[in-house]
Amino acid sequence: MFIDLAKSNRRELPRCDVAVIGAGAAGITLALELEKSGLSVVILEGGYRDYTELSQDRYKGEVTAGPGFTYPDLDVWRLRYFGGTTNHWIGWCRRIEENVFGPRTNDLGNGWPFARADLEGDYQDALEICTLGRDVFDANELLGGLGAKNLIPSSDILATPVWRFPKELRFGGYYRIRMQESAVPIYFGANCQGFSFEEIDGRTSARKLHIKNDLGVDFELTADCFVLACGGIENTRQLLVAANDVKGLRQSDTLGRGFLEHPHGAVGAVMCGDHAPEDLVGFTDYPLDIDKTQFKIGLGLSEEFAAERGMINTSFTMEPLESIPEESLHGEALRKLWESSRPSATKSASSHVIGLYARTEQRWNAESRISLISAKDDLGSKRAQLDWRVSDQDVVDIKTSLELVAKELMKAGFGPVTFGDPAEFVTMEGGGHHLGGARMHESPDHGVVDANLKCHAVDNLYAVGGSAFPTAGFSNPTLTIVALAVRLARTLKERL
Amino acid sequence: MRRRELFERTAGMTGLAALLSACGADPADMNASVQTEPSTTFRLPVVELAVSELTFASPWKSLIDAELIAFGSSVLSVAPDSVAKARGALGELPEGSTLIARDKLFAECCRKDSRAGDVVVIDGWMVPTTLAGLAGALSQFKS
Repeated sequence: MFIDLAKSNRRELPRCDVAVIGAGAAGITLALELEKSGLSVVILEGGYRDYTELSQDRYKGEVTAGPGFTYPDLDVWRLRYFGGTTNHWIGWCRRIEENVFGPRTNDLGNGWPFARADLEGDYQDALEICTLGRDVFDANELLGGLGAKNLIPSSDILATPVWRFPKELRFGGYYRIRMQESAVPIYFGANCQGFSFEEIDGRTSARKLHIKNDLGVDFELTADCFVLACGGIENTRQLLVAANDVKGLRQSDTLGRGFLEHPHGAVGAVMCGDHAPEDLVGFTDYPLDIDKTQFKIGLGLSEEFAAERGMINTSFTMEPLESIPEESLHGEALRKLWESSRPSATKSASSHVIGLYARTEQRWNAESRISLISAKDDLGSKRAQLDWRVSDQDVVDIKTSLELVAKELMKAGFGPVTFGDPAEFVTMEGGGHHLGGARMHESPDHGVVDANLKCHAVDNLYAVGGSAFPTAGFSNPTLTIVALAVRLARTLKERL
Repeated sequence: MRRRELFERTAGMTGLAALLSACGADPADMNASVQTEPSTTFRLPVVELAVSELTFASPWKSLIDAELIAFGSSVLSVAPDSVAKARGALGELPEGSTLIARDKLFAECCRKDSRAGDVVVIDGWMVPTTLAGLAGALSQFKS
């Protein structure tokens, strides 16, 4: 059921069991999972069913990034309307790596406070919600299904991670009719302005949610539980606002800190050598699986290898290139020299280059943070500032991983690999993945939310989404965010 | 045959004077006559080493240009040992071998290096050691 808050006469919205703030992948999943539970659920979406400039403007903020890294304005990657950022999602899906769960070695930060196996049932539901088809993430099995040979087999060092792509990318489009017909009301133009808290016997609870419609008219909502599900940056921003009233939210001094991204960038290219480009099915293209969903195979260090060495998880995908990257020194000399070793018929094919595109993890870094600035949006809410920082050791790990992967590629019959101009290696950007900021940890001394995504400092306030990731692996986060929303729905059903 | 012709037939290099000078010979002597025997051995008493270099470089002389010399110079500074390896591996090419035989031997050496992880990184390129060494060797013929 869709309701435009600008047309509502009731200043106090009907009380509910669960109020979900945000109608993106996490919020819609919660609604889908809770609608048959008998609980009364309300979704509050700041935007509307379709994009509006007015709503999107409230996502503007300030951005800075460390040397060698770039990040776009905060309203570029986030979308503030029904379906959220899935409205321009490309769809890369895979489970987050197993080695980020539990304690991690070296300075990689705390891992997830439960085992990946504990999330497996939720992943199964998430696969279905994300329309991902069959649960096959094994390169050999996927290629075998197509009658293709895997020319880059995995080893103790080399992994071949698989991504799958949904049949339906847009949660807002795909679930529009279902949600419109659902008993769960979705209020559009419902801009969350903050909470009123109450303290009883030393325990803090959120009592009311304060909302403004687009005309600036105030509304209130009372609920047993409130769930922030409005994206990694907005969840954190809302909690930073709440921390003015609830000092316990800052107990660990991690709120807003440890913003994580997946550094992305073109970091090299490899000559095909013994392989014809068209034979690298799944690596250089996005073929259809037998169930008509697309998949992609990448390259990276095996989880065990990276964990043993205390390195971040890294992956590299192969993407078509026209020629040797201009920034590579001696490109023409290498091409001629390499071709001279090849029979005439295969000379040009053997020096055909394929780009290597990094999609990596970054370490938890307290200096990488989201904070509030004095600038306010048109409704008077303080805007967010993002300062994205990647540590020098992350760059070292990315370089090391790339060299190790390059070595494995050459063992598999590929030709020389270029890493570009060594003096200009680091030119990377984020992947539009807003993670960390309100990290999950068992202890309030080290995290903002617990393993059930409940704020340690507030008994009935939850934050689901990328903000809760204590570490991020390299896997694209949406599937895991949806799995976390399924997990939270189970928790809420048990609690209420 | 004059030395100039010898060089032009083997490496095709224009830097003969510099090469002779580097080997301790008199550059002005480059038009002196050369004694040859039916075997593959060139008798050049003053520049014995240069001749062996030229014999080695001869099959790849068409590859030598400014770009290769630049890459090879980097090889000499970063991985000088690779040159000896390349000479050892590619020097097995018999005199008078065809280009096909040359290509085959070179390809085999590169494959063997790659499979064994015997690679070096030069100016942002990871390459088989033999390939790097060949570039390093050829770059020594710069003018």
